[in-house]
Amino acid sequence: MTVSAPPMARGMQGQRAGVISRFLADAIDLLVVIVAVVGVYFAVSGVRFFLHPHRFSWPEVSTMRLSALGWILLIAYLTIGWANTGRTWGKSVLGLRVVSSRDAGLPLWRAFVRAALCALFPVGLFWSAVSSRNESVQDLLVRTTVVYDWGPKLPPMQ
Amino acid sequence: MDEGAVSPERLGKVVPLRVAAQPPPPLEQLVEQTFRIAIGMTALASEVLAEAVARTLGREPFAEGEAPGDETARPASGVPLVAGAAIGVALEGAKWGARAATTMVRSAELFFSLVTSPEFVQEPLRQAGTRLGTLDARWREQRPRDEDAAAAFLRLLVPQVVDAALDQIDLNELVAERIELDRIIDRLDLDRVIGRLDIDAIVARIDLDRIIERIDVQAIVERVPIDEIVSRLDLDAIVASVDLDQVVRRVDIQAVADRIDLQALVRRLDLTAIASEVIDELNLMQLIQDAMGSMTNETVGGIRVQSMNADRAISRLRERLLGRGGGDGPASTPANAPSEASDPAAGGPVDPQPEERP
Repeated sequence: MTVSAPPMARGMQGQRAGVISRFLADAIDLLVVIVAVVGVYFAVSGVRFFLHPHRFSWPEVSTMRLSALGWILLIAYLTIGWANTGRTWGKSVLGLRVVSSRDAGLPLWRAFVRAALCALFPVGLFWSAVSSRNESVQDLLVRTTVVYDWGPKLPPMQ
Repeated sequence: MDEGAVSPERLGKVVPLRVAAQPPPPLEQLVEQTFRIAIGMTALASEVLAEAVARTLGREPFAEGEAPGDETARPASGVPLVAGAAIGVALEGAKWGARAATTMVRSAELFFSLVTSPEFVQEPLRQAGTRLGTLDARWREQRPRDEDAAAAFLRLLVPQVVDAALDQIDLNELVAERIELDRIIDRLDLDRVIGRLDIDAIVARIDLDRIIERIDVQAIVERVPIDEIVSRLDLDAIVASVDLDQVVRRVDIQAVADRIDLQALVRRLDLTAIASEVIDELNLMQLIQDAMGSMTNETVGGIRVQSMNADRAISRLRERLLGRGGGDGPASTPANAPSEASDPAAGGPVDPQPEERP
């Protein structure tokens, strides 16, 4: 998403992002995953309808299973986004990027670990509100940083 | 009215020949003229008879280039010479005969006057004259009725004779042979003739509609060499001579617009094709995408700036609560600035390729 930055935002590029921006980005990502879960549910229902149209009934799925599906989708979604471009759709909207401490890219395994930690302990995000370096629990564990980056070009894929 | 004159009301009828009362010509002259007429009529009759006989044989009565009636052009010979000489002898004989007869008549008159001079002769002659006068008066009294009867008879007879004669005559050929139309036309005062014509009355009697109906306009138009005419026209000069401003000023645009059936025009338009063409030209999808992209960018930019401001507010609040002093705090610190941990791996320099940012 290419958005021209105003002068104030231009000076903030490359700096560590605060908790509000990161929370909003994560909220969008969560919404995306919820929509994906609903989509999977309707896709499964459609397949069942085509297979047995006369005996069709909406599949009854327990909350646990839906939660597990959502958790898996969330981890996969975050891993793919961070490992490829350093940003998910939510971070793209808010102009954020996840970068490693050593270089711009984020290895797949670190992206996966960070995604799993975010999915298991999402409250760890709010440590960035307390941290003087705006680092969440996941950033501390995986040694990553979330910065403002409105730039259109993406770092090379890992 | 003179006895010999022709009354106007009797024009168109057959009028008997009237001769004015004149002294009778001398007998000698009368006889000579009678002989001349008889000889002339005989000659003409012979000529006409010979011509008719020649025509019945399918031959022209006169040789090529020889006009009738010019026998004096060349001397006669043979039978015509003898015949002409006989006619001349007869004419001279007639003259001498007439003179002899005149002499005899005069001698007879002298003898008759001597014989009738006695009184006993005069009385019977006078009675006979009276009787003859009575008969003459009776004839004169009956004369108008006799003339009317004769005229009525001739009125019936003459048309029959004329029709029969005209049936035998080709008037067109006769006119062509006998009448020199050029001379007649030269003598005609056509201006006077035209001046006498009532052109308006003539035109009023013409049924122009019927004439126009009989005209094959299509055939006339097809015979007109339009291409040749157009090629001769200097259209540029014609157009240059037209004052278009004045023409346009005279045009009632409103009246023209009122007469245009816009609904019919619109129905004839292929609006779907036109719309497709316009959309293709405008690249409408690209336009919509650009507009939506612009709106989205503005919205997203606003969200980003607002979230940045919120981040800075949280950072200031945090620094104030922790007693680290004012300023924008670490949130405003570049990610590649020296971190609290000396280990670069724990939050060291991070450069998300700033040269790629706008």
